[in-house]
Amino acid sequence: MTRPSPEPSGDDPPEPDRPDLSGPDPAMVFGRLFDEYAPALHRYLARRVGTTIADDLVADTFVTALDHRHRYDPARAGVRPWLYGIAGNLLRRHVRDELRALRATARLVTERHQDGPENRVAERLDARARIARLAAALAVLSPDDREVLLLTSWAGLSPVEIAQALDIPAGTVRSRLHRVRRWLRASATTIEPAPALPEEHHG
Amino acid sequence: MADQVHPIWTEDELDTALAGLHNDRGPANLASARTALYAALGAPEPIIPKSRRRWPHWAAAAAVVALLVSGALVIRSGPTSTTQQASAAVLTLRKAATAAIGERDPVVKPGQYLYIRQNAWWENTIVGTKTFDYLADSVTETWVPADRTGTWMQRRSIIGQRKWVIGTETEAAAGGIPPDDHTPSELTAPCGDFYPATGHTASCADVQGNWQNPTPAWLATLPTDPHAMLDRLKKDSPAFKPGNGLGDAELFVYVADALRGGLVPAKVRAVFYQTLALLPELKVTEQVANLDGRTGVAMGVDSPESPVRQEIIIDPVTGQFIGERTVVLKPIPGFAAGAMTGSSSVTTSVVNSIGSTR
Repeated sequence: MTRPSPEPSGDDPPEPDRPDLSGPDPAMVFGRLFDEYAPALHRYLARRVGTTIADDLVADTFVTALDHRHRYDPARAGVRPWLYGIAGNLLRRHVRDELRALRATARLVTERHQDGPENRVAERLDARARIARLAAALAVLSPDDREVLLLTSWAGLSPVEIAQALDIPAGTVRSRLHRVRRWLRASATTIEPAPALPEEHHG
Repeated sequence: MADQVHPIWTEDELDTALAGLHNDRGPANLASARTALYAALGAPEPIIPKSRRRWPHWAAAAAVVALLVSGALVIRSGPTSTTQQASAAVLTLRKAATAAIGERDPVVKPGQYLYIRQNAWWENTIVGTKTFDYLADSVTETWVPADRTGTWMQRRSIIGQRKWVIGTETEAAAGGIPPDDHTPSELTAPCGDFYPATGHTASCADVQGNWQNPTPAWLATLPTDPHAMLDRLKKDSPAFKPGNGLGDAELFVYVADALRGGLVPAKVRAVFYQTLALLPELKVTEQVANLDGRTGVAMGVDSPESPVRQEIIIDPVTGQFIGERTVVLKPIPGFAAGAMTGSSSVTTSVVNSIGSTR
């Protein structure tokens, strides 16, 4: 056998996956979809609401997708953004968990730096402080803005895919993303972490 | 949000902070999600999705089903034992287990690699407005460094032409189905963690071992007593869970999963064979050829839920795992009863550099 010469696999995105989900044997196609997309979907959801809730959300996403498979139109969207769209809807029930996690991270900054303009420079050089400031800023974003930003940054979806996931025009996604990023770059350093939610008080 | 804002962070600083935020989440428990999905599917043939999910999907064109398949659609092999002849199966397995115990694992010196080559016929089913089904021949090669924490490589290639079971190449082209991509794909990763759960880390300890990914650390946790191994299998597999249970066939599939990659040491293989001998429904077929033509003994367990039986093929003389096949028990589209929907071969050797085959 002549073995083809090895070539680097490269980072080119594969062709959009647009299976027909309304076929007679959903077990075949959904088994494949789960294997291909569940691990990455879980990573994304876990970063937003934690591993435990993500475990349930991944299951709910695929079961919901199965129930709604006849609504999926391969001509309109790739299956990956469609799944992330379903996950996003389910995620909305857990906004409170997400905000709680962001605020918990945000409070780390106050443990390390006293507030004051002179400390902003030090914070900027401190990766951990930057992350805490970012968490505080994300917690005050609108849910829609947060969704677009994190689908881009954490899920790696393109503006076109996000448009398919959220059923909004791609131009809206791009302008929203631009506006959110500009605001974060300007404002993240000045957002203070919100106080802890009442049930988080201890003692 | 004010328009007149003056960015303080650079784009890179924002991206770095985004990349670092909450990127330390624990490992996923996808097993329960998968169980929930299959329960919702009420999958009539759960053994097919279960084995399918462990096959690679690089050939995916649309909705692709990967079943291990054979070019030859008729089994040419000796008689299959029945339940009443189970003692013959037990004898065969004991013989193989004894052979495996006596076998020496390949010695991989520092700088060398264990080279594992799997050749397999796959079935690709494309379900759309029209159903297509064809067989493709694939080769998966894996290079495992002597130091398992080093860089591994896996190369996958589709070779040869499609053999059509349902449809033709012309019809497929008219239906917009792309031809097979014969360009090999390569993955490299430390610890063999080609699809990391949470991004690559410095430590192989973060790589989750299981029946589908038998890492050395995970293999070390397995019991050495066959009865204890059977208990462990029952505990780890969904074999007896409501809505997702295939009974002993599922236990068998888990053992096949572990053996498939060619990385199970001889002494663990011996315990596996002794454990399989405890399964009362085990069917053994003598004189079965693997895809390379090497002859061995095939064994598997029927499931009332599945029209096919997955089998492993072992060399009874050396106890080596040499391949797999899938036998059709009840007719399925494109395949008569008695046909094979899959066949593979696995060989292992030691090579001096990554990417070399001898």
